[in-house]
Amino acid sequence: MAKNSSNSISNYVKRKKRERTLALLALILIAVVWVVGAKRAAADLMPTIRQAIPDADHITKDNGVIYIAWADPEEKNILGYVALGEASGYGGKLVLAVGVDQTGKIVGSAVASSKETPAWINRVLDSDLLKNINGKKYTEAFNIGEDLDGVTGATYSSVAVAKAALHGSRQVARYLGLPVENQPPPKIKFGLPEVVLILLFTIGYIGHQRGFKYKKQIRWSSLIIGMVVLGFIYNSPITIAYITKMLLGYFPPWQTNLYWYFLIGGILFVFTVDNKNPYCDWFCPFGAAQECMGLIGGAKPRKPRLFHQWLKWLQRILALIAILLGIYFRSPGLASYELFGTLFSLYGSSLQFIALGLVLIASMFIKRPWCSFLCPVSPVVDFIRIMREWILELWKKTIIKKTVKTN
Amino acid sequence: MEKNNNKKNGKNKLIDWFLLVFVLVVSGLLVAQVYLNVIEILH
Repeated sequence: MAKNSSNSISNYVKRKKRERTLALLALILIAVVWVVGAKRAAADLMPTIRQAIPDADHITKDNGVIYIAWADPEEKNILGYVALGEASGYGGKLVLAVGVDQTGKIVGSAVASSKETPAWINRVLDSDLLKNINGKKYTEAFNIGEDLDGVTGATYSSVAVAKAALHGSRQVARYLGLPVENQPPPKIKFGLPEVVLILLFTIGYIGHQRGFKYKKQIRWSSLIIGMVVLGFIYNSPITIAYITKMLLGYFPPWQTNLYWYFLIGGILFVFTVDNKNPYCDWFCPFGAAQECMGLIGGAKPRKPRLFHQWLKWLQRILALIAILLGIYFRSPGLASYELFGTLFSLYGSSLQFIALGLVLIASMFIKRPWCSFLCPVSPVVDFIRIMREWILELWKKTIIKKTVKTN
Repeated sequence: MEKNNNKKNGKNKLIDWFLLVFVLVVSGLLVAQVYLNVIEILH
């Protein structure tokens, strides 16, 4: 009996040690891929800059932001200028190479880098938006729905392209010494999604209190609100792309992205202080959808005894690959393989719809199969938990050492 | 008693295998989708 318990303790210690080593290795791998990806992104820029003024003989860099497009090899006549305009898209920063003539009129543009989901940005590229931007001047508004037509189903990406074009054309206008009005700071966006998010965090806080009588009821109301508002109405659940965005150092302007900051900040705050995950069990829209399906079939939690460790590591490896691909290609949405968009906005490929169907059917018999075996957010939560525990342990050891020394 | 236990074990094993197949099929589909996304970005 005693031998058995000492065996299980030593196994636990071994497992913990292995998990910590692998977590550290994952962190090193992410750092290496970050650097390699940054080099790749810089090398890829010139062909796109050329696309902005394709008639140019050659292009030279004049200063940090402006490129000159020459009409001849002797560099006697200037055809135009290219600037890299930036704006915030759904997945992160979008960079547009904007070709401008000497009067400040846009003559061509090409997406230099984007962190948008490929399907969305492709919709924009297949549309007439870039063509319609040609001929516009830096003095115009570039507002989608007013002087430019947006692209259905890719609103964030179309707005980002338009704003990046304006930013690029203004950079050239300033370089040419043309009068450019200063843009007013963005208006603070605080609406229903932000209010609902605060409400959900509050509900979660109340529900987590010890001895709270109506925990089950309050949890279900939180799940339903999360599913309807954050899922079906605003389609903004937390995805692996959020994590990749942070690792890429992308922090969108707070005035227009309060929701993002509330969600990420709230989860990290509760986790650090309380070691509790306020999101997954309480208001993840996709988790709620699976639990609703579970009500139909009487789903039960299942932990496969034979393959539990294998499946856990498969889930972690998939999440790590998604993060690494997002970082390497500087595109957080690229490998974000969650099926949230497929369910909540009915947008996705046939492969995603088949996967969604399988997950929803399985949810009828197994409690939250996606969360337990496939969701890439769970490994991130595990990672934070492992690191938090490790740091606390080291901190406690240091305090004890200091106390012993002083005594 | 033993028969019941065997039956229960058999059922659990079946569920374990079902879960394994489910996870492999769904993750296979998702990996295929990511692969297509990467191919698209490379071209």
